[in-house]
Amino acid sequence: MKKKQLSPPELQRVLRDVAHELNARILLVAGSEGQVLLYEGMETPKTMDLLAALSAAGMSALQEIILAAFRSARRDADNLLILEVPQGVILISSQPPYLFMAVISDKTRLGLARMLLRRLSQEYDWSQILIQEEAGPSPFASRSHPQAEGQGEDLFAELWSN
Amino acid sequence: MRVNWRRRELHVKIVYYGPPMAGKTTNLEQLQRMIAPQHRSELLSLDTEGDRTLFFDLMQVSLGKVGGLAPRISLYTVPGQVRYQHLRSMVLRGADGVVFVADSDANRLEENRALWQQMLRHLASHGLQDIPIVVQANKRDLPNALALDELREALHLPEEIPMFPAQASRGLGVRETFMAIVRFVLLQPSSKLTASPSSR
Ligand SMILES: Nc1nc2c(ncn2[C@@H]2O[C@H](COP(=O)(O)OP(=O)(O)OP(=O)(O)O)[C@@H](O)[C@H]2O)c(=O)[nH]1
Ligand SMILES: [Mg+2]
Repeated sequence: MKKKQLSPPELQRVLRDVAHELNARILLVAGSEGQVLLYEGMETPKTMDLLAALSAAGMSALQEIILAAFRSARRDADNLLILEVPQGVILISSQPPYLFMAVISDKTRLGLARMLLRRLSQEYDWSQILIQEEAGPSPFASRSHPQAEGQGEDLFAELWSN
Repeated sequence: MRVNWRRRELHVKIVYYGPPMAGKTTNLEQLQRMIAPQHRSELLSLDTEGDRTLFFDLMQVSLGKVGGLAPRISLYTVPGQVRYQHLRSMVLRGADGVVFVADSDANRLEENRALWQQMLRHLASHGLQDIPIVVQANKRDLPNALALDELREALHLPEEIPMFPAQASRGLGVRETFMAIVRFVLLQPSSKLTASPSSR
């Protein structure tokens, strides 16, 4: 099946609709290594970043276990991690190269959640969120530029508290 | 390194790697103290047993916008204890740069060497053999600290890898190390932007 190529605002709308259908407090799409691409939910961007990084780590740990237990397992396979916590249910779905994480209420049907999460990765091309600049130079790369050092300093402007 | 189009952010992953008790977690603790709260997350330490890292530590830092993009740096530490080899390898996946925290203690030379070699193997297995590396020679306050040259020689460090002396427990050398690896990762002319999360 060919994936739908949507613009970032359209992808955001898709995510919003799914979050709504699942009654999800949080729904996020990240790269397999935990960098947030898009999210829906009431948390701050910082929290979303942490949640994505932790979800990726949790999924990695799970995959280590699966690989240890089943010799024929593959690291890049689809895996679904379901955690029940007092606040609801956390689903982390690894569908390389993406990771989907949802926090849903324990009244939402798991089968529906699983299906919608899988559909998100199968039907849409999330790489639209990332700048298409394969193997280009870093936007900061300017070592040959006379102001390279100064630019490096800007990076740390106002970073330090003392 | 990834660019998030919508949020105009550049995501970078840096891993602090090194032998047990070398001071990896201490580096992050000091950075947490030194970096203004609005520019960082809390330091998250997962599953620690006393002060030993069992899983990993994670802290995220946002840097000033440059070229219209805001770099967001995720700093990870690995557990140094021998039995967590696989976990160390796992945390290295997708890294854009590494800080190798060496213990200057003359009695720990072998451990430094072993973990350094192991790190190079793990990096190669992930196809990351060319990412920037910075070495921190920590615990310079120890009376039996090796000379920097001796340490450099023992690890067979190539010349292009910079080494920073540090006393992380007092915050000395921590900032310099951090700034060096960030500059190294962001300003290296050959650093790559990847369009797809699968490509590394
Ligand atoms: N003397 C001295 N001790 C230090 C220095 N930096 C850190 N330490 C101490 O070394 C011990 C280990 O530090 P950690 O930061 O927990 O070490 P780690 O590398 O994270 O250890 P693992 O997580 O077990 O791999 C702590 O007691 C620190 O206070 C230093 O510069 N000098
Ligand atoms: Mg530690």
